[in-house]
Amino acid sequence: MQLGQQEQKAAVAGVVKKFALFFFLIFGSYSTDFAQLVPGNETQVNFSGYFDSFNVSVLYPSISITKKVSWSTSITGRYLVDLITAASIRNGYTGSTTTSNTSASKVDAVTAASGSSSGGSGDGLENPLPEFDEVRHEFNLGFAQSIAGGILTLDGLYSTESDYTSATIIGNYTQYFAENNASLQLGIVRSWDKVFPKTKDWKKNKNVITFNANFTQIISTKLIVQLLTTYTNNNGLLSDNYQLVPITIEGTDSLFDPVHPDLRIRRAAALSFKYRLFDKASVQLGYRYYWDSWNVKSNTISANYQMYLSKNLILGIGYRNNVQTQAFFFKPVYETPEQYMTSDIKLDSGHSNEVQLQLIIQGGKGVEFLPFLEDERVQYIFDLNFYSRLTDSPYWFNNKSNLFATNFNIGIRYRY
Amino acid sequence: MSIRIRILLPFFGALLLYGCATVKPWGKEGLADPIMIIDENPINAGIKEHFIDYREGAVGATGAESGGCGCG
Repeated sequence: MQLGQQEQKAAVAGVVKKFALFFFLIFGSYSTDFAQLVPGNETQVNFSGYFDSFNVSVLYPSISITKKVSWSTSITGRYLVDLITAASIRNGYTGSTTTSNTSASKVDAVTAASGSSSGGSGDGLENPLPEFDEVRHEFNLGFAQSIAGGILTLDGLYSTESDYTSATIIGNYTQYFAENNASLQLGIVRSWDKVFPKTKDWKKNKNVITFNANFTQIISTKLIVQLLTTYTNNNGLLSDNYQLVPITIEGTDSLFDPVHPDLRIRRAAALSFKYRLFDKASVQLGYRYYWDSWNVKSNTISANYQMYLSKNLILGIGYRNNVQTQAFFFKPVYETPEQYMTSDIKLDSGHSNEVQLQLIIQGGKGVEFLPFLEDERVQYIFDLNFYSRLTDSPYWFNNKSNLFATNFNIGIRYRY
Repeated sequence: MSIRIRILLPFFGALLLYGCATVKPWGKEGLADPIMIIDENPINAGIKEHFIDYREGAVGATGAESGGCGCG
């Protein structure tokens, strides 16, 4: 174990050194007279929701306020609440569980992070409406500072819920080159998470460190190209302890705790193009390749088309497809308990499709009959996403391979 | 292809692109149009990313920040 941790530290230290060297090589040799603009005054309120065919519902309103305190500095505060029905599973395990190796009762073992035995999404005439019985609060405070041709941003984030807390620090530096035609952003994200499931009597840690490097280049007056890369080191408790593993031993069904490796190195690289098709429309095409130390590999493509319906109306239509392989220890059925085992369907092979619709209404002449929209600094945002995911084996809890989800967002943005 | 090459390839590509002709400030009016800005609304992008993180095994390289929920 100690050797593994030393290797882990050496791997992270190696990435840090390369990251620092890259940073100084690039930024040490460039300077620019262009002062960069930090984010301006803005208040944004969003009301978002998620509903899926596994009877999980989430409502997550949020408010974000950015204040420019000087020409070179702005600060941002953000607050988000997740209201969740049964953070995971609610509607009854369809297997014939008779015993469990966990300390939990049947209800607690297979239901939510809330530990509640009632509530959840609407499940028919008796409970037609969802009851939100799990709440997560997320607080974010950050600032952006213009520094010698670049922008430095630092954010602190704290998230708390009944069985999970997370403290995160995010730092990004963006340097602009070539008369602002190119920019390189280097970022680091460090999280300290604590996990304490209600069905367990222990508390465990999860630590995450992420390095990002993004490069954006204006190629012409109609074309922008962006390259994004991410390297993430996750260590500690990496399993979801509400996702139990059913194993039948000598005719008796038992539920076992999942066991995941305590280290996961995750990498992703993406390429994106934004192109102006004609005067009133643009298209963005993207491709991402992801691979990690658990042998999950994924290819993601996306396309997004935006067009002006009128001076005040922007319509967006998007499509996204993701295909992934399964983790090396994922099995649809385990015959006996193994060193590593999981029932987390995110680690199964499969594919997903998403269709995105967006309507942005910009205030000003022409839409002043709508509330607040006589002011051109106001913007309404409406998003509606339809998502489906098909995995190669069914979910352990409800025996379904197909997940359908709808995600919406209604936002109002005021820039002043 | 080795992992190092996969990581470095985008940067080599970026350096090549860096050599492309630059657009002068007076030619950038169209690029300031909301439909031409990548991540025009990062908060909105983060909200979309948030629910994908719960549902898939792959994360990262999206330019959006999400997390704090044990969803990864």
